Amino acid sequence: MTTGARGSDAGPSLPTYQTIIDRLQAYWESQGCVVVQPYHTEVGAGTFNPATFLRCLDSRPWRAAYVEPCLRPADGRYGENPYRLGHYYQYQVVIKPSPADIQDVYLQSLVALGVDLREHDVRFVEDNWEGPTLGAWGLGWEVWIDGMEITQFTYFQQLGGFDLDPITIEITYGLERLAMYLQGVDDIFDLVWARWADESGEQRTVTYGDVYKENEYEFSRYGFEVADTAMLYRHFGEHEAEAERCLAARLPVPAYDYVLKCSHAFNLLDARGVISVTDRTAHIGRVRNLARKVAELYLDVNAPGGEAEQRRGLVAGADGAGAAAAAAAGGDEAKS
Amino acid sequence: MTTFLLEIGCEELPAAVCRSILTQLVGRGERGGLVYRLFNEYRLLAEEDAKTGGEAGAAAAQPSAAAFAETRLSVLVSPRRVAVLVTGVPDEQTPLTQAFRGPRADVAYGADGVLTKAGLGFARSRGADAALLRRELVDSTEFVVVEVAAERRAAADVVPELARRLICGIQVTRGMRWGARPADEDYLRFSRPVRWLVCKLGQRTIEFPFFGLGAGEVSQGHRVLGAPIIIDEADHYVRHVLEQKVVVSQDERRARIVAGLDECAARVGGEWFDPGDVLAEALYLVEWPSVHVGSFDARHLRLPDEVLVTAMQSHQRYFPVRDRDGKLLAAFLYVSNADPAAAPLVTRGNERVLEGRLDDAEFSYERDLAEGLTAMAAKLQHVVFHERLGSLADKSRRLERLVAWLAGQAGENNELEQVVATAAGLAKADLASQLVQEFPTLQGRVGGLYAQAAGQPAEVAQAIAEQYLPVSATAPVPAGLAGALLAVADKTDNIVGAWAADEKPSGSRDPYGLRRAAMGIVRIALEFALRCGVEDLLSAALVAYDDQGVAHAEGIVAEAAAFVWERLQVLLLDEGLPFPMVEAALGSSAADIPARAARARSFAVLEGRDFFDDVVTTYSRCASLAEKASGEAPVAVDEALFSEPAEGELHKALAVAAGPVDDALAHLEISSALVAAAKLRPAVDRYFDDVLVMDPDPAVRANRLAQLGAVVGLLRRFGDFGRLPVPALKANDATAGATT
Repeated sequence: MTTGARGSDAGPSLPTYQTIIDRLQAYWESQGCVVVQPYHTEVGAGTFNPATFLRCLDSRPWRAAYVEPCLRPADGRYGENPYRLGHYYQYQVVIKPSPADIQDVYLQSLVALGVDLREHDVRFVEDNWEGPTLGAWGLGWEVWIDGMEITQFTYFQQLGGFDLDPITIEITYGLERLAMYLQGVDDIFDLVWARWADESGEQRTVTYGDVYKENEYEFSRYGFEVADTAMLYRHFGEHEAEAERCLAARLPVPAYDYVLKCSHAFNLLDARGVISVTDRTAHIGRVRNLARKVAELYLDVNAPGGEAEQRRGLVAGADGAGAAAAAAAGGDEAKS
Repeated sequence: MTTFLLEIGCEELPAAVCRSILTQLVGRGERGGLVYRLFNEYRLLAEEDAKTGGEAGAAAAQPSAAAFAETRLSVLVSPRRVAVLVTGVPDEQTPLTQAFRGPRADVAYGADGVLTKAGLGFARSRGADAALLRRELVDSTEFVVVEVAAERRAAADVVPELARRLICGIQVTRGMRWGARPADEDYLRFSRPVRWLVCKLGQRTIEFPFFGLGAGEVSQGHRVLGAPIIIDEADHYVRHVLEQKVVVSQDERRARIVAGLDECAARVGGEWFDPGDVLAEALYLVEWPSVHVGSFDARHLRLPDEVLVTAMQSHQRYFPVRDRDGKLLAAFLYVSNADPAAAPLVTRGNERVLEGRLDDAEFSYERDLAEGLTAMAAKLQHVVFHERLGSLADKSRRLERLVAWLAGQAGENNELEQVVATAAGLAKADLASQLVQEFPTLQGRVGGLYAQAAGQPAEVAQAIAEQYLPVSATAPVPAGLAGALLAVADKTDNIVGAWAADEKPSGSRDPYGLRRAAMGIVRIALEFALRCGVEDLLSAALVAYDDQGVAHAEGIVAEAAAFVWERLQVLLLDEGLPFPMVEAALGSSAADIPARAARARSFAVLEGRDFFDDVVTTYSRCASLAEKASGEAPVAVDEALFSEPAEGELHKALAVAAGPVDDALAHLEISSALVAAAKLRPAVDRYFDDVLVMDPDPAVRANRLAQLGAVVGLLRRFGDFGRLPVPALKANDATAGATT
């Protein structure tokens, strides 16, 4: 930890990194979003969190917001580049179906962060999104504030190869970019993460660099130089096989965890530069194929009146005893 | 007579979509755009005062599509709205009389000439007075016919359907869905979500439901600076939205932006320029444009101009500024959508973004320079060109061989050979540079800069910089011969490689841009008069793949050659040459591109001249018989087998013509070559008068067919005249024709 004398010109009136997250959480909570938490497995983007990928597949309404740590080993720069990180955070919002006034609702989130919209040039600039490993695509924009891209705004059209109905809007803030803009900082590592006054009343700050700069170095070295490629190839195959076993057991959520693990193994192999062009296409195809199967099974298991609803007692059994009892009975049968 | 307004309110439309919508709605030529076609179909085109044709009379005077677009229609497109304004809309549909055919007359009328039930039923079904029925002969059968004036509905009643079809008739390349499925309807698909509709006829609001939206009178202003506004009258639309900080007319926005750019550039003492055509896009990124000046740290001016300009234009859509000597200034102009009063803050934000991009670029540039082009070239063995075709180092080796071959074709020139060899070896090195990874569109140009920095001769640097030209069907080709040869070699290698790897384009699929590559070869060959044969060139490229050990299917040279010739055909047809002339020239046995192009262009000019017709006639007479020899082993003409004087005469004529024809063709003097060839005509005519080609003696017959074959062979050097209609027979031809 260092004192506030160093590093950033972010004055005390400007929101810290953690305050920015707080304000987003509060804002989207006020918009009726379930504030879920980061996922427990490595992902490359907030889209991969099951709160987005799985929850946005079916027809049930859904609103969620969360911080997601994103791992992109190939983007690591040993902590030397002021704009690029191998590990960073997104703030992700998904709302299904997309509301008619969603752009205004989003703009109000900037107001909640302290941006006076009339003092800035806020634009929606065409940018379409495609996630080849998830068999997903959508149309939308990147949002610019005074020429700086701070958010991706996407109407999902397909996930796992399935046409969506209704349509989800995905809003993804790049938290570091946003904070750099709000704090007027030109180096990620100078972002003020936290600020407080110590016993003597002196202002103290913790910067992003204090928290993550060493990590960036170590993970860059690991990703580019150290990672055991033979192990990663093996893991890719094992995770893939495990995903298939979960699919066979009709367990789409655990199956999806293994899809994510495959995807992460692939990202590490890619960063190590050992994947040739053909190999690349083939591996992406294998992950996409799994994601498609997971999506298919998830839709089936969660169909209205389907097995998930029965297990949760949401469907009345034919005898009136309730589906939970029926499911429990089924479970007992399976054991015997 | 009133004004029609339809405003389609959207979330921000992509710039390319805005341009496409504008074109679709306004249209061009006779057929007109979507608006014209719909107003025509709904009979709302003619102006009230022109509607004097009488109730059942001729249709009122209608404006042509062009006149309508010019005087009555405004299509105004901004990122958040598409507005269609049509003036002079009649209050009700223009009159239309339609004729309907009923049953046969002998069914409609009884023997007594009185209408039967069937006849009366027909009149009733058309809502016509039975007395108006008349008889009419159609294909020698008599039917009953009735003419009925079509219903004339009020404009206000037909506009909802017209408006719905207008919106749904707009084609977008990538439509999307949003929200939830509207009740009882499928999703509306559009480029971006449609959020509001305004529909007015004069002061009247035309309400109608539309995919869960209702058309009404409330429009939206600028996203931040404006407010919702009621459009009280169609004619007031532009003014109403302007009050809410929306310049809805693209022409007005363009004028404001250009004026702002001019003024800002003058203020910093320079002139703005726009090589990336950012203006066309910036126009559709703002509704309330103002232009402002930003600056960047002058130390970045160390970066090459290409890099600075690309960093400003790509992604950020800024305009670079240069002084009178063409030197870049450390300033940029940007178009803002914000309140102009907010400019200081907005400018600072934009400056920070550009500063960051230039820092990045400078970091990459320094690292690249430190590494050097030769070291980058050495890395290419680790970069895959294509899984089946090897690395970029393999590609470089193939290029070196192919340009050497090309330079050899262009004639003895040691200096040129040296330049292209060096350039080819370094051509792909910049693909391993940081800068090209950051700005992919700078490939080649960055290599040129680094070659210069490495002390390579200017010709080498220029050739490297020009290797990807032309970048489109109309973009400039390389300026230097070395660059031209390298560009041809690179494109040829790509085409042959794609065929070898079974990645040839099919239908609309052309992921490697090979059609553009082939067109590039054609255009460069024409510009630089490259006379090497197309098949020879492709074969030379294939040999390099063969030596590398790339396996491939048989016959790909012929296929790839046909692919290249197709591009020449496209180019010549685009020049406006008639299809048969192009086809005839492409049927020539000439192997190179300038030769066939020169033929097509000459044929188109010379068609109808006597010597041209003589050649075509001569060809068609000989070819039709010579074909009979096809399949048989070709024989050399044996003078000992001649029995008729005409045989010897033709033999001599051919020997006399061949030299001058060859000579003239070699210099692409097509006209003189045709004049020389036309001299065969009398000998050929006499031959057909005097000689029975299909002689019973097989040896004589074969000899005579071989003679005709020799004539065809010579003429085939011009082209396949069989593609042309045989010129009309003249008086003396008629007798000749009768004896064959």
